[in-house]
Amino acid sequence: MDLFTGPVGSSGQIHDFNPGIRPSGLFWTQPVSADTLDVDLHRGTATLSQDDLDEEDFHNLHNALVDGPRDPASVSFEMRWTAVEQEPSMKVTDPVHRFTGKFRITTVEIAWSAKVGSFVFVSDPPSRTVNVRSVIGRERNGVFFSDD
Amino acid sequence: MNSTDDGSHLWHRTISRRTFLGAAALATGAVAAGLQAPAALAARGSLPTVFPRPIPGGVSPLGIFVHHFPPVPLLGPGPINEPSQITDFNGLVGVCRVTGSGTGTDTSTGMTSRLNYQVDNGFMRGLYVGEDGLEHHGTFAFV
Repeated sequence: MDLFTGPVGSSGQIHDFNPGIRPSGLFWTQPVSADTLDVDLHRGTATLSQDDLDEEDFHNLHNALVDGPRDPASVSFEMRWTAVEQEPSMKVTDPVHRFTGKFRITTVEIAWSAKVGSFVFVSDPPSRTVNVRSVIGRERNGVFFSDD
Repeated sequence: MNSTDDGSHLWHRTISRRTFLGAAALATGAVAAGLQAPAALAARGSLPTVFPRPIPGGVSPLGIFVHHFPPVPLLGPGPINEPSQITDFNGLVGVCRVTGSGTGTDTSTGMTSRLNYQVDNGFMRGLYVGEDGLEHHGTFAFV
């Protein structure tokens, strides 16, 4: 979850909130309570809500990728995936990256906040979320992958 | 837990990474190595059992390889990039890239500023092979 003083992706990044990279290489992934996630693939919706989740603020992407100095931070968010009606469910099998599944293209609305030191960020209302690309689905990969 | 398409789950309250790793650091052996939750805490159902493993592939932002595919640009051959962060996984997944704006406040001075954000978040819930080589069920957030 990245914050910029200028346009997104510019050199003006000042915060980069994530849980860090595991020694295994597991990327920015952390366990959460099961009851914070609601998924209904039939309706094409999912909601993920986290309250005061511990993160690290690496301040910019490069520092995050090299596991550089960080400050303890926390984030809270509520985000909702909603399938785009015009986009049918897609059966995808990717033998190169070895994953297969059924997916829906979605929109997402998010409200989130972050705290690090004396700094607090609060996002604009979720209706102002700008969508780039989002999906939900069910998949199998790795040892559970088969392309039949 | 509310889901129309999944199996069992292990977490009964929000588990932060700091809590997870901090608790693990108190224990010994495999627990101290971060592979397993302390038995006493796991018995209360308050911790997951084992971390999953990363997907083998990925991209190299700023020339640094990471086990992750961003939602865009599409890398092919399929119509979406691998949305999961974890391998040996069978379950529900979601990922997104969104942008927007908000307000930052320095609470020590009261000074505010408008800021822009990008959020690549997601979730994974289901069956996975953990760092211990065994199968587990769990729910994970990509943040």
